[in-house]
Amino acid sequence: MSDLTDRTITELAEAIRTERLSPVTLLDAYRDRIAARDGTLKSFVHLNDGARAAAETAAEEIADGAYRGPLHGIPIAIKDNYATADMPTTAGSAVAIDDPMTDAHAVAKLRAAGAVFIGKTRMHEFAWGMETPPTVNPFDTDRVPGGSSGGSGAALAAGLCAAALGSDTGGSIRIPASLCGTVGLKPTFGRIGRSGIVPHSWSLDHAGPLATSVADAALLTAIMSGPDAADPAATHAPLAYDALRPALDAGAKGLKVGICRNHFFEGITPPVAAAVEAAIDGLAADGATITEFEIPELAYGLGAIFAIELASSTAYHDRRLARGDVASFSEDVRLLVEMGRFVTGADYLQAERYRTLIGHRWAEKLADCDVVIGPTMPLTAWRVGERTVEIGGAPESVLAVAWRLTYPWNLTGLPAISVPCGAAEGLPIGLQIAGKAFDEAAVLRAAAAVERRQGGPFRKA
Amino acid sequence: MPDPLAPRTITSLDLDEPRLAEVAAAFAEIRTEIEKLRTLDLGEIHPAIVFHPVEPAGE
Repeated sequence: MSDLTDRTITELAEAIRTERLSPVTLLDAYRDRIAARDGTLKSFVHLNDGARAAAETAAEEIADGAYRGPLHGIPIAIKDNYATADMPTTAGSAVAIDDPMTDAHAVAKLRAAGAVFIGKTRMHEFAWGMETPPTVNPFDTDRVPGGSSGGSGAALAAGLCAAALGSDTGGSIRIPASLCGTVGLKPTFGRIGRSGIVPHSWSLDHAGPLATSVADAALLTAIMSGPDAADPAATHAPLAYDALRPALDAGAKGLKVGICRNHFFEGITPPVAAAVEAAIDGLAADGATITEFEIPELAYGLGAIFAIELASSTAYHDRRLARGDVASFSEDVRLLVEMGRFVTGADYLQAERYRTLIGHRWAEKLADCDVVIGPTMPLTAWRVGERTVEIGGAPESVLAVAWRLTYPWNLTGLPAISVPCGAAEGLPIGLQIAGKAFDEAAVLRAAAAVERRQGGPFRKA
Repeated sequence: MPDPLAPRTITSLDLDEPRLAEVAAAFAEIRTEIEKLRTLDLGEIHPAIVFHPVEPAGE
C-alpha cells in the first residue's frame, strides 16, 4: 500500500496546505492504484478525464495563496446517481435517464471546496439492491461489497480514492461501509440537499459520505450540508466542521448509550454479536452509561418500508413502465419496480402513519440517551451469487437480511453511522450508531470513541 | 370494457399472464409484511408526510 493512499483526508490536507504534497502527485497515486486493482474490483464506471487538470489548478491556487480548505486538491469518488457537470450519470442502468450534465447540489458544494473528482462509482441499478454487480469486495473478491453504493465502498476500502459519496434509502451507505470496513454516515434527513441525485424514494433517500475515518466523514458532511432550494426537505443551516471537532475528541466518558435489544440483536451471526458486544463493553469501560430497552412496534417496520419504497420507486419509474423500458432493467430491479403496483394507497398511508408512531417511540427513548448502538449488518459479506443466507439455521433472502438493521433509521430519518468494530475470517464487521434528529455531533462522538479503541483510521484491503 | 376485477386492470401492468403471475408470486413475501402492518391499530395518528399549500413567490 502506498503511503499516500493510506492516509486520511485530515492528514493529506495538512500536507497539501503546506505544499509538502501536490494534489497532482496525490491524484496520480490513486490513479496508479486504480490501474493496478480496478480491473478486478470493477468499482468505477467512469474515470474523470478532467481530474488531472483540476488537480493542477488546485496546486496553482494553493501556490498562489488561495487555499480553500481541507478538501482542496483531495480526490473524491462520486456515486453514479449524483449528476456531475464533467462526467455522465447513469444511475447504474443501461436505460437512458435525463442527465442534466450539471452538478448535483452536494457535488457543487464539494467542487466549491476544491475537491478533485476522480470518477463515478458503480451502484446497484437505480439504487434498488444490496450487491452492486459486478463490483466485488476488496477483502475477498469472491464476495459482494454490498449496495447500493457498493462501488464507493469497494473503491474506498481498496485505497482508490480519499473518500466517496453514497446515497442511502434503506441502508445503501451503511451496508457497503459495514461489508467493506469503512465509515459510512447517513446524516439526518434534510441535512444534505439531494437535488441532482436520481431519486429512488423521495421521503427515504439520504445523501452522505463513505470515508476512512470518522473525522473525514464529519468533514464531508459539514461541507455538503445546508439549505438546497431545489430540495424541499433541506432547510437547515449548514453544519460547521469546527463545531463538530470537539465532539470528535470528547471520548465516551459520560456518554449515554441506548441498546435496543429487540429487532437489532435478533438473527445476527455469532461473530457479529461478539464484535458488537465487545464494542459496547469498550464504551462502558471508557465511561459511557449503558441503558437497555425494547420497542415492540419495530416488528411492523419491514412492511412499512416495503410499502413506501416500492410505491415511490414505481411512481418514479411510471413513464418507463408505460413505455416498456423496464424490460431493459436487470431482472431483480425490474421485478421490484413492477411489484410496486401491488401496493395500495391505503397501505402506503398506513406506512406513513407508522412512521409517525415509530418516530415518537424513538423520541421517547432518545430523551434518556445520546445515541443508540447495535450491529449495522447481521452478517459479514456474503458470496457473489448467493440468494439466501442462513443465520441460526433459518434461511432468509439476502434482500431481507441486508437492510433489516439499517432501514429503521431511514423510516425515522435519524442520523446513523457505520463504523468498523472488528472482523471475522478477515471480513469487516460494522457497528451502527444512531442519534437524535440533527444531532450528528453525538453520533460522531460515539463513533470516534469506537474508532480510537479499534486503533483506527481503518485498514484498507 | 376491461374486466374491473382482472389483475391487469387493477395493477395497470401491461404484462402477459405468466409474467403477471411471476410478479404476484414474488410480491407474496412482501404482502405478508404489509398485511402485518395493517393489523397495527394506529388510532388517530396522522401520516408522517404533511401537505403544505404552495404560496405565491414573495409572500
